Amino acid sequence: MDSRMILFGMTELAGFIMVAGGMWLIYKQKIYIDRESKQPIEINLPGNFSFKSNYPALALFVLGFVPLIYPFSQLKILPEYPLVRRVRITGMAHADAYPALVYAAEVPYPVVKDGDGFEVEVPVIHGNEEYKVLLIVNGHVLDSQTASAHQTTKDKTIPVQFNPVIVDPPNYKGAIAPVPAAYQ
Amino acid sequence: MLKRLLIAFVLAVFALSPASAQGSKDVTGRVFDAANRRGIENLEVKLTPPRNSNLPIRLTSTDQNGGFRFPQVRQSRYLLEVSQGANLLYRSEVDIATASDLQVPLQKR
Repeated sequence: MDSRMILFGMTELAGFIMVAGGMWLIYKQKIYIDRESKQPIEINLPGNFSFKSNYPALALFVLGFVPLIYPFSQLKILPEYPLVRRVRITGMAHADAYPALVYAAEVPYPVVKDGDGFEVEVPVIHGNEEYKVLLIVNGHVLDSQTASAHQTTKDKTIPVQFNPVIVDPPNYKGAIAPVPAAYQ
Repeated sequence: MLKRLLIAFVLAVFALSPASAQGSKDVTGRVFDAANRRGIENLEVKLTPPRNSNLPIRLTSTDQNGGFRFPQVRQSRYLLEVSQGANLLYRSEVDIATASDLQVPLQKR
């Protein structure tokens, strides 16, 4: 279960207690402002909106609707913002040839023929962070592009355009066995 | 009696140790045109050990006679791959323990 649901549940509960409690207090007329001064309570809301009431219970009742309704409005868009916990992949390189670069990808997208599209799902990043998008053939990086988070379109995609790559056809061909499981 | 047992134990430990089971040796080979057995130069030759074996990946290229050499390769099974740039030409699993002269025939396209 998404841990944010617990937070939403707690907010809902707080809102419910405020609304139900406010109703109960209004009904019982348990709370009121200083009897002597008879000063009303004034509630200021964003947008120069304010109201006065002799009953703080009424304010409690009205304000309780905010935490009660807000989680409902957020619930439907929650799947669009998957919960991302960042982890670090660490290690050591012994390559005898430097500089070397280390990349980590969840799942690479195989492109099997010319003109095929690709679609790589990545965790949501915020701000001006960037993804490095590589076109790799037989371990050779043929092209490298940058996809910036701020280029995200309305349909939640970041379009990337690789340069066309022309690889000379090989002069020879040989037997290519599938990669055994022990090497994958 | 105790001395003999001790010697037998030491010999057994040496015989079973991974170091003696996985010795190193030079591995040579040749990539050639199967039609005329001429060597093919400037091809990339790669030896990949099994995943999690902690053995190094070895990389070299063929000389003008198509020959290649990997010095001091730990005996194990490896994936032998021959490439020309981004094009993979050949792939096969080889056992360095039993084969140290690798022959890679290729056909002209």
